[in-house]
Amino acid sequence: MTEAAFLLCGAGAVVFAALALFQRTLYGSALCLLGVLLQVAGAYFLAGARLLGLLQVLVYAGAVMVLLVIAVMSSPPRLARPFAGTPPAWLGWLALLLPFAELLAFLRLAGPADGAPWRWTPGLETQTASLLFGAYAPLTEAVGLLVLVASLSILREEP
Amino acid sequence: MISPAWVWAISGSLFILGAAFLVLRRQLIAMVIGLELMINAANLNIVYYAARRGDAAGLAVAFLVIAAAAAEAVVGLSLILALLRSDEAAETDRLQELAD
Amino acid sequence: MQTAALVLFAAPVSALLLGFFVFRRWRPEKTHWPMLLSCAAVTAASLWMCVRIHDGFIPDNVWELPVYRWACAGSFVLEFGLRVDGLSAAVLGMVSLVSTLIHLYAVGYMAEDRSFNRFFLYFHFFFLSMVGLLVADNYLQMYVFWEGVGLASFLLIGFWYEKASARAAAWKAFLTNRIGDLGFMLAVFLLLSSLGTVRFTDVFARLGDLPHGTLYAVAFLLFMGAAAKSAQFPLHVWLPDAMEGPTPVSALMHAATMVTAGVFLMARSMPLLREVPGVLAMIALVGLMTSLGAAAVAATRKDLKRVLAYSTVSQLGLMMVAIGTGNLFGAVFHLITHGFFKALLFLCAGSVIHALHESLNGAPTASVDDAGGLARKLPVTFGAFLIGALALSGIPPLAGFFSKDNILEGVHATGSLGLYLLSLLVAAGSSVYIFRLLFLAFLGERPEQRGPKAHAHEPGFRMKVPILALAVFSAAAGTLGEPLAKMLGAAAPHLDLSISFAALGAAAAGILLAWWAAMRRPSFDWKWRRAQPELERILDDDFGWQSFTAACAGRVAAFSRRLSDSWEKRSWDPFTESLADTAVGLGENLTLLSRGALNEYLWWIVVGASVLAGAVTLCF
Repeated sequence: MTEAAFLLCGAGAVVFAALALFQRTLYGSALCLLGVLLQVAGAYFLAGARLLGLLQVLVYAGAVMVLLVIAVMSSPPRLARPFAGTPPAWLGWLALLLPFAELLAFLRLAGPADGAPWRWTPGLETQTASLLFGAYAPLTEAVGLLVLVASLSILREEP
Repeated sequence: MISPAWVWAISGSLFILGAAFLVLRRQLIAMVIGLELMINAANLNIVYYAARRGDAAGLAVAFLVIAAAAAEAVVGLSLILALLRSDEAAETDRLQELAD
Repeated sequence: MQTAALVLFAAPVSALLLGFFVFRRWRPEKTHWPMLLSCAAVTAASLWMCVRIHDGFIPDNVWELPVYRWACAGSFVLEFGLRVDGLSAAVLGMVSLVSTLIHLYAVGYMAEDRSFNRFFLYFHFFFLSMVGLLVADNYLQMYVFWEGVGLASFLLIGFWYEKASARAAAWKAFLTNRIGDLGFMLAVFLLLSSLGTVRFTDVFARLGDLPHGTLYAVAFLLFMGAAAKSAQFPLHVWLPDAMEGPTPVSALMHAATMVTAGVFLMARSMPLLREVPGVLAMIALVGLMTSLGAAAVAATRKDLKRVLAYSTVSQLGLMMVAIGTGNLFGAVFHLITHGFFKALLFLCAGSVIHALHESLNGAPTASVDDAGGLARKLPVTFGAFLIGALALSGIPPLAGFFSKDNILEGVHATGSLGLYLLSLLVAAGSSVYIFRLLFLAFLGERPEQRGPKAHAHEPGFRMKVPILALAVFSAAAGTLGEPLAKMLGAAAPHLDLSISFAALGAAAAGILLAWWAAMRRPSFDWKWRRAQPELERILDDDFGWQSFTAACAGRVAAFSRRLSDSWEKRSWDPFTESLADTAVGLGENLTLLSRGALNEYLWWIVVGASVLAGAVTLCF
C-alpha cells in the first residue's frame, strides 16, 4: 500500500512537470516546479526516508525555489510562447485533485504498514545522519563550501 | 508487489520532461527549471532503491545530490541575474554568440 | 668472365653519365670520347667472351650470373641476371663491333649538327639497351631492354623533331612496336602465371609442364613481338618511314642491331618453338611472304635509304624463314653477316648523302634522281658499296653466300619444293634490287639524273675507316661459319653443291636483270613510272598495306575522339565540375550547425544520448 502511495506521489510529480512545460509564463513554470518538488518530498516520506523528505522541503522547495522566484521576478515580464497550443484541460483538473488523493493516502498510512511486504526501516534517519557527519563528513563539508562559494556569485561585481 | 518498472517509468518521465524543458523553452530560467526536474528524477530513483534496502549510504548520497543541485542552481541563477542586470535578454534566440 | 660481364654494363652507363652530366654543359662537341671508349671496351669484352666460349672454357657453353633480386612475394621471385652463351656472345660480338664502327662514322656524319651531344646520348643509350637485351637471362628482363630499344628508336627516328615527317615516323615506329610489345608482354604474363618463372633455363627445362594450348599461345605471342620489332608482314609499316632518322641511326638500328632483336628473341626461344611446329610453319610462311613482297617493292623505290630499308625487311624475312625451318644456325649466321654488309651499305648511302648534301638542300636522304655516275667522284664509296652488294646477293667468297646458302639448305631439307623455289626467287630478287641501286646511283649518266656537283667529295677519314673496316668484315665473315657453329652447338655447315649452284644461278640471274634494266635501258626506271602510274602507286603503298594500317589507326583515333567528346564532355566534365558545388553546398549546410541555436544543440544531445542508451540496452 505504501508502495502504491509512493507511486501516486511520483505520478503527481510527473503531472506537475507536464503542467510546467505548457505554462505560458515563467512564473507559472516556477509554481509548477514547486508542486513537483513537494510531490517528490512526499514520495520520499512514503518511501521511508523521512529525513530526506524534510531536507528536500527545506533546501529544495525552500531555498532553491526562493532563488528561482527572485530570478523570475527580475526578468522582464515578457509573455513567453514556447510553442503553440494550451495545456489540455484534464491535466489541470488532475493537478487539482491529486494532492487530495495523496493526502487521503497519507492519512490512511500514518501508522506502520499492516501486512505490507515493504516496511519502513527504523533508525534509517539516524544512520543517514551519522554517515553524513561521520564517514562522509568531508563530502558534506565540501558540498557546504560549494553552496557558500556559489552564493558568493550572486554578489555584484564592483564596476 | 508492484514491479519496479513503474518507478523507472515515473523517474524516466520526469527526466524526459526536464529534457523537454531544455529543448523547447527559450528562456534560460526555464532551462534551469528543466535541470532541476532532471536532478529530482534521478534522486527519486536513488531514494526509492536506498529506502527499500535500508541503505543509509544511498540516502546520504541523495542528500549530497540535493545540496550539489542547490549550489548549481545558485550559480546558474546568479549568471542569469548578471545577464539581466546588464540589460541583456536571457533568451537563447538572443544569445547566439559566445562573445560579441 | 665476370669482369667482362661487368664491363658490358659499367662502360656504357658511365659513358652516359659522363656525357650527360659532364660533357653536356662543358664540351658538347667532345661528347663522343666517352662513348667511343665505352664502345671499344664493350667490344673487347664481348670478343673475349666469344673466344672463351668458343674455346670451351665455359661448361655447357652457358654462363649465368644472377645479379639482383627485383621482386619477391612468397614463392614468386623475379631476379635480374646475366646469361652469356654461344648465341648471345656471338650476336653481342657483331653488335658491339658494328656499333663501335658506326659510332666512329657518326662523329664525322653529325659533326655539323646542332644537337651533337643529344645524338650521342640517345645513340649510346640505345647501345646500352641492346647489350642488356642480348645478355638478359629471363624474358622479363629482355622485355625491359626491348622497350628501352624501342624508346631509343623513337627518340632517334624523331631526332630532327622540327620536321613533321620525322615526328610522324617516330610515332609510327613506336606505336607499331607497341602492338608487338603487347604480344610479348602477354607471353611473359602467360609464362609467369603457368610456370611461375621466366628464366630461360627454367622455362626450357619445364616445357613439358605447359599445356599445349599455352605453348601455342606463348609462341604466337612471342612471334607477334618479334614481328613488330623485326618488321615482318603485318607490322613492318614503320621501317621504311624510319629512314627519316640520321643515316648512322638507320645503319645501326634499322639494319644491324635493333631489328635483329626480333630474330634474336626467336632464336632464344628455339627450344620452346620446336615444341610447336605449327607456329614454326607460320613463322616461315610469314617470313617468306614478307621477303618476297619487300624485295618486289625494293626493286622499284627511288630513295636510296628506302630501298635499303625494304631490303632489310626482306632479309629479316629470310632469317624468319630459317627459324621457321628450325635452322637456328642459319638464322644466326645470316643475322651476323647481314649486320656487317647492311651496315656497310647504309654507311655508303650516308657518304653519298653527305657528298650530295648541297644539292639535297638539307634533306636527310637522297634519291636516284640526285645521284648518277658517282663512281668517278666517290671511288672508295663505290668500291665498298660493290662489296656490300655482292655480299647481299650471295656471291662467293663473300659472307652472304655462306649464310644464305645455309638457309637455303635448311629450306631444301624440309622437302617442300614450293618453299625452296620461292626462297630462290627471294635470292634472285635481292640481287635485282641491290644491283639496280648500284647501277643507277653509281654508274652511267642518265638525262633524268642530276649527277654530282663539281665538288662532291669523298667523306673524311672518320667516315671512311668504318666503311673500309665493314667492307673487310663483309668479305671475310664467311669464315665465321665454323666457329659460330661450335659456339651454338650446332652441326658444322657443309656445302651442298647443287644448292650452292642454284643459289649462285639465281643471284647471277638477278644481276643480269638489273644490268639490263638499268644499264642497257638507261631510262627504263623512269619510263615505266610514266607508263604505269597506278602500278607505281600500289607499290609505293606496300601493296595497299600502308594505307590500310593508316586507315585503321585513323579509325582508332576517331573512336577515341568520339569517346572523349561524348562521354567525357557530357558526363565526366560536368561531374568533376560539380564537385566544387557539392563541397560548397555541404559546407553551407554544415554551417547551420554552428548558428548558435542552443535549443537545437540540446535536442541533438538528447537524441544522441537516447540512441546511445538504446544501443547499450540492446547490446546487453
